[in-house]
Amino acid sequence: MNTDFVSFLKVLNDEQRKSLYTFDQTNKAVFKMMDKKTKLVVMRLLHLEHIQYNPRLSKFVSIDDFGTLLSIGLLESVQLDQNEYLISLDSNFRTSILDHLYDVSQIDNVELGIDSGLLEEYYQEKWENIILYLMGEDIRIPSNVKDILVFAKIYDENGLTKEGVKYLLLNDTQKLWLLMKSYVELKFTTINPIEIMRILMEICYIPIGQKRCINNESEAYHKLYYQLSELGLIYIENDYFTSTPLALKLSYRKGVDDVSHTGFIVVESNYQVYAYTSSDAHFRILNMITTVELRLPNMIICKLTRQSIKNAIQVGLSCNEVIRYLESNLHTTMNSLSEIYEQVFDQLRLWEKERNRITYESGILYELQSEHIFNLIIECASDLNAILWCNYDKMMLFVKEEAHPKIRTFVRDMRNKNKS
Amino acid sequence: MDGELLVVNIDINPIAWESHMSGMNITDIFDQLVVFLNAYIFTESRNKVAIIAFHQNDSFFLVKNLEHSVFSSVTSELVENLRSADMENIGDKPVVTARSLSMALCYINQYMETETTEKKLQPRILFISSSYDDPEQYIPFINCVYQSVRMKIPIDAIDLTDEESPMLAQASHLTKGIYIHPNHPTGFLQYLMTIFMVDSDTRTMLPMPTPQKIDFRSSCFCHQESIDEGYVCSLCYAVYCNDKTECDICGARFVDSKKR
Repeated sequence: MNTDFVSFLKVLNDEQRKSLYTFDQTNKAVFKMMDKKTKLVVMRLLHLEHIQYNPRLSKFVSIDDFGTLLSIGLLESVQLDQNEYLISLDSNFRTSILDHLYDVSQIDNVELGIDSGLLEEYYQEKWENIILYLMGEDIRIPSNVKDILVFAKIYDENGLTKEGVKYLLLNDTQKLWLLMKSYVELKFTTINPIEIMRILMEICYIPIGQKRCINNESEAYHKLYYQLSELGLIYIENDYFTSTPLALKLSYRKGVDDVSHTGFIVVESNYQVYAYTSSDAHFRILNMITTVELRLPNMIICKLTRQSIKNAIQVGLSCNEVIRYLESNLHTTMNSLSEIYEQVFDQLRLWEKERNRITYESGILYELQSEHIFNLIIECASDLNAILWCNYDKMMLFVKEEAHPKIRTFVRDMRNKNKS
Repeated sequence: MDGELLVVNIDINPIAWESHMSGMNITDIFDQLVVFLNAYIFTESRNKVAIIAFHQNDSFFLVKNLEHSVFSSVTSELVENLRSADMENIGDKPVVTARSLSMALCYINQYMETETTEKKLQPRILFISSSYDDPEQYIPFINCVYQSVRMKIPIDAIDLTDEESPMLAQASHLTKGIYIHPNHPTGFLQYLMTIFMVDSDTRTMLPMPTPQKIDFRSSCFCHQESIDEGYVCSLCYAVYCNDKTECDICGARFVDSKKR
């Protein structure tokens, strides 16, 4: 299941989550977001009020199948005995899904109220602006969006933070959920987080292009809708809103919804990278991790070099993040060439490890004339486990900083003993 | 993992449904089936369903293209087609199981040939049986099953009669499907949702019913009678109930062991 979504739900406490599940749309949206196995487990439990479950004997489900459901608070489990549990699905959730299944007269075809091209343009413009703002471009974005970015520690008065750099390399789904989480935490005191969640769920569930009226909600939430439209999640016209394709990305599941997901990066085994994009945001991000060689109106040609990886590391990224970014945006034709890019990614890791060849430790260097004293000091220092380097020919010894005072007292005692 | 093409073959034998279906009604079955299909499509929006109904005289499509965008209109079509089923002159004949299986296979084959997208749906066949086996149909039936094995189409079956059906059990075993003969047939929907909702990939991840002892009996090629002991041609594996000098199917001559 979408881990960002689960961590988002964890912002609420148990009671709040329970009341979240009283909303029909939310329940259907949550169900749609589950992975296949969890959905099937829900289907098995749907018609049962409860099951008596013994983990060691069960032929019905196994204990880790319940894991996801338990973590989002949909499963209630009461321990009867040592090893016997009474397990049931949250009753509101059950009712929502059952009502939906038993009601066969659903709305079949959705008439598109708004031109889909318009929605694409709208969300892309809003979303791109946010990314470019983060990268330091002089673009105006609404102040409430700025507040969210600052609260999420992505941005501060000096510009992009270290967290922010990592944030840029996440895919759109992860970026969105992180922003949503920060938004909920930010507005915790003023707006009921349950309502925010409920509205978000509704937005990802309704089909794109279908209009909904804002006036159905109370005044207090109108502001919320406008703020969500600033992020590009919904498009507001008159008193109606519709979800944009960005809202669809909220419920994106890797490997399942890939039909609509288009990658744009092609990586070759000679470290050449081709990115089929005309977006400025993509260009800036690629500039951080590769050396850009050529930029055409619809394509960026760049190369992964030792220098470019070192630059990325200096900015605060790790090699794994770079690899994950490239992997998640790979063009679909690259699915069958996994061996080639394994080789490239290994080399990236090697370049990263080059920085770890040298470690630094501070200490004190001793240079001695008398061999006898030199040997005594070596003995003393090795007892303290403080020797970092020594050279018998030159009679030089390098010890850790902490050990210096002890060695000094040792030498002083020795001199006093000799004198006396 | 991306979507399945499910073909449901439902046995609407009117004589069986009137007499020995443990108190269940054919309308109850259809109600529960529609809820199951609704859940099936709700779980995975790419899933597609076709329903074939068969009885003693005929086998025909109730629904050809049930998917999430057309659900409610198609269910009314289903009812229409069911009502217009021609069930005149149904005698004491067996139902045309083999014919319905071959219809399902042809439908799936047609889908595989005409579908142009890269990610094709995984096909599966589900039998809902309410009649006893017909040994005379064994040979065509098992030929269809072998074709299913070649096309990698699992054949699942839920048997609502009071006796086990060796033919369906063999079909499920060969095609790596699941055959169940439920103890409480009134819980039909729960069986469907627990067992038959799960697609082939997820079957390895969730606990599923394990196959019981399977009766591998065949029908003899000469009389189409059910036998469990017989003579087998060493060339073409045709099964006979009595000693023969020559195989009818492949023409091989058998050496009479008694004459040696």
